[in-house]
Formats: sequence, structure tokens, C-alpha cells
Amino acid sequence: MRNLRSLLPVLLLALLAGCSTTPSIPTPEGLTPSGTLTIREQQVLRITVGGSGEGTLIFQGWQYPFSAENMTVSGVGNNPVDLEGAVYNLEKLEDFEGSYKPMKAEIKTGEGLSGLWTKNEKGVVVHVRSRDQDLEIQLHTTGAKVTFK
Amino acid sequence: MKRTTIQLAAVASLLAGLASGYAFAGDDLGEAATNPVSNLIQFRLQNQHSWENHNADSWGNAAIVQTVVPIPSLAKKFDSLKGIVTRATLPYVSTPDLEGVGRKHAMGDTNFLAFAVPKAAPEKTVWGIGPALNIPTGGDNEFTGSGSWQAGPAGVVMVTPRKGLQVGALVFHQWDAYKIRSNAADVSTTFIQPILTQHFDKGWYVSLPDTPQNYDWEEEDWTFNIGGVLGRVLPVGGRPMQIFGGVYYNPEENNGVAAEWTFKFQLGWLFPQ
Repeated sequence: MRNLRSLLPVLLLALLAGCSTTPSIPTPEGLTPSGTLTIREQQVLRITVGGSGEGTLIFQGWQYPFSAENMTVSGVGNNPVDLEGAVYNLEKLEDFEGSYKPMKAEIKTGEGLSGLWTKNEKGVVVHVRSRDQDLEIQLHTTGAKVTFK
Repeated sequence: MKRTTIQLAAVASLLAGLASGYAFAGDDLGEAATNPVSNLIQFRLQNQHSWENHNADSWGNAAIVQTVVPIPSLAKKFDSLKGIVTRATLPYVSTPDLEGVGRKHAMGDTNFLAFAVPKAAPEKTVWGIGPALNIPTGGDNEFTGSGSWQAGPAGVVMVTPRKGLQVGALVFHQWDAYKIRSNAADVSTTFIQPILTQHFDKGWYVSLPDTPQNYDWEEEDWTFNIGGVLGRVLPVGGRPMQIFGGVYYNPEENNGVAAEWTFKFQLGWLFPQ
């Protein structure tokens, strides 16, 4: 029991320390948070059709691997870049697949909403941003194609 | 001195997490961590300390190693399956100090569950079925192990009616199949673990205990674990962790020496894809 008591301060510290580590992104009006994702984008310099990446969607307690094509992250050569994001308005898993295009007028960026906001033809919204650096994420004009692996 | 060193190391690790700037999807990863059949690799160190016991005037303890390991390569061989997930629980038991017997410290039995998780499921629902095994790693120690191989069916169903809320149950039954100790008791026990978890912002959650209620059909006795858990999924040193603490109460005292009040604590490491 004494060992247990000595661990309690560590537990409390862990929980409290974590409070300040988690950056929260405000939810824009009209969007319902549904899940989160990570993408590892392969940097293939700038080519016309954009790069490709592999990612994982976490939705309703399950991880779903997917691939994303026609997305380019600018600037840092051939190294892979890690992106993270949030998914909104996803009710059915199959609606996640599709072609994502930038939402230009619908989301006002700033105030913690920076990054790239995209929407597919089924109304699913994905917000992505680079994890470690403020890099520009661009999509091909046809949109980024997302398919489950 | 040694304890202080350990605490300082833990604090240093946490501060490393603070400095990493790791942006973290704790809420959704938390839902995966509390989904008993999630395809998320997990390694958990738990300590279950019963400071009050029925029919014993001293404490008992179980230090537990638990692994959750999905096997996607096997699941891919079956078109109808979303995944196959295994859970193994290995305890090291310290029994209450009993008059004439003393306190015993030894390995307990290993509990192994495997679930095949079908793709076909109602909306917002995950379910799975598979085997439940008791492996007598407690050996012939009659105080810490059952002394028998046990097997039976296991099933789980969990619904996410809205984001952050998980409701369901994990149930399994075990019968003794092969006794390695001559005086091992006959076993027929049903384990029921209700699932009710509410997740909040920043990875926080509250839930019912992850320790099942069980009914011993041979002795016709219930053992309850009534209580709650406060937990959090958070990054520590850049690695997502699940930390929780919970208190349980077992009001049933008619089945010999049994835990009455228990505190359970977990440090769990998560390995997302």
C-alpha cells in the first residue's frame, strides 16, 4: 500500500502535465467531430500530379489504413512529412472514401483553425495540418483521392 | 531513495512529453484504447491492490502484465473479418496473510481471450466471438493458481451510440478441461464485464471497471467489482499512453477469502498504426 501511495503523486503529475500538452482545435460551426487521422506524405519533390501518402483513420474505436493521392506538402525535399487531422460529419465509414477538395469560403482560418480544410463529395470534412512544422499543403485541382487499403 | 529516483524519472519522462510539442488525437485514440476488441497494439502494466478482504485481516495484491495484440495478417485471410484481436493477462499474485498459511507470492494463471471481429455489424456496433482460455501458469500453487487448463466461449458487443460514449458487454465462460493438480477444483465460471465508457476532451474518460463480475456455478457464488475508473490517454515522451486508476467494491463475502475493496492502477503504452 505504501508503494501505491508513492505512485499517486506521479499519476496526478502525469494527468496534470498532460493538460497543457494537448492543443485543442475549436470545432467550426456546423461540423460534428467524427474521428482523427494521421498521414505520412511521401515527398516526391513537386510533380504535376502531386505526391502520395499513407494514413490511418481512427473512427469509432477502430483504426482504418488508407492511401491519399494527389496531395503535396511543399518545401522540404524528399523526406516524408507527418500530417495529422480531424474528421467531421462522418456517419458511415464508407463515406470517408472520395475526392477531397479545398473548402475556400466555408471555413474562416485563423484562431486555431489554420491548416488545410477539405471536403469530399459526400459532405465529409477533413482538416489536415503538418505535425511538426508549418508547411503548406496543396491538393491537385482534381482533389486528393482517398481510398481504404 | 530508490523510490524517489523512480518518481524523478517518471516526472522527467512527463516533462519530455511536455517539450515534444506532439499534437495528439487523444480523444479518438482513447476510444480505441477502451474498445476491448480494437485493432490497437497495447502493452499494459497494472497493479490491483485489495486493501480490505473478506474473511482475511490483511491485504492482497496482483501485479499484472496485459497485452492486446491484433493479428491483421490472419484476419486478411478471411474476407468476412474486420480483424482478429488477442488479449493476454498474466498476474503475479500476493495472497492475504492467512493464519497458519502465511502470505504466498507466486505467478497466477494466465487468461487468454481471442476475438474474431466480423465486418458485418449493425451501424456504430462492433462485435466479436472467440475462445477464452485459462492457462495454469500458477502451476501447482493452490493459493495463486487454479491448477487446471480451462476453456470456453467468449463474446463481446459494443455500441457507440454517439461519439465518445461506448456501451456494451464482454462475456466469457470457462470450464476446467484438464487438471494439472490432483486437488484442483471443478470449474464452471461465467465472467461478465459491462462496458460503459464516456470520453471527454483532452483524452479524459470515466468508465466502469475493466475487471469482470463473475458467477461461480460450482459454488453458486457471485464476485462483484462495483466501482468506477478515471483515466486518460495522453502523450508521454511522444508516445501515447493510457493511464487510469479505479476503485472497486465486492459486497459478496460468502465465498471464502475474496477481495472487498480494491484499487487498480494502470500504465499502458499504445502503439497506433
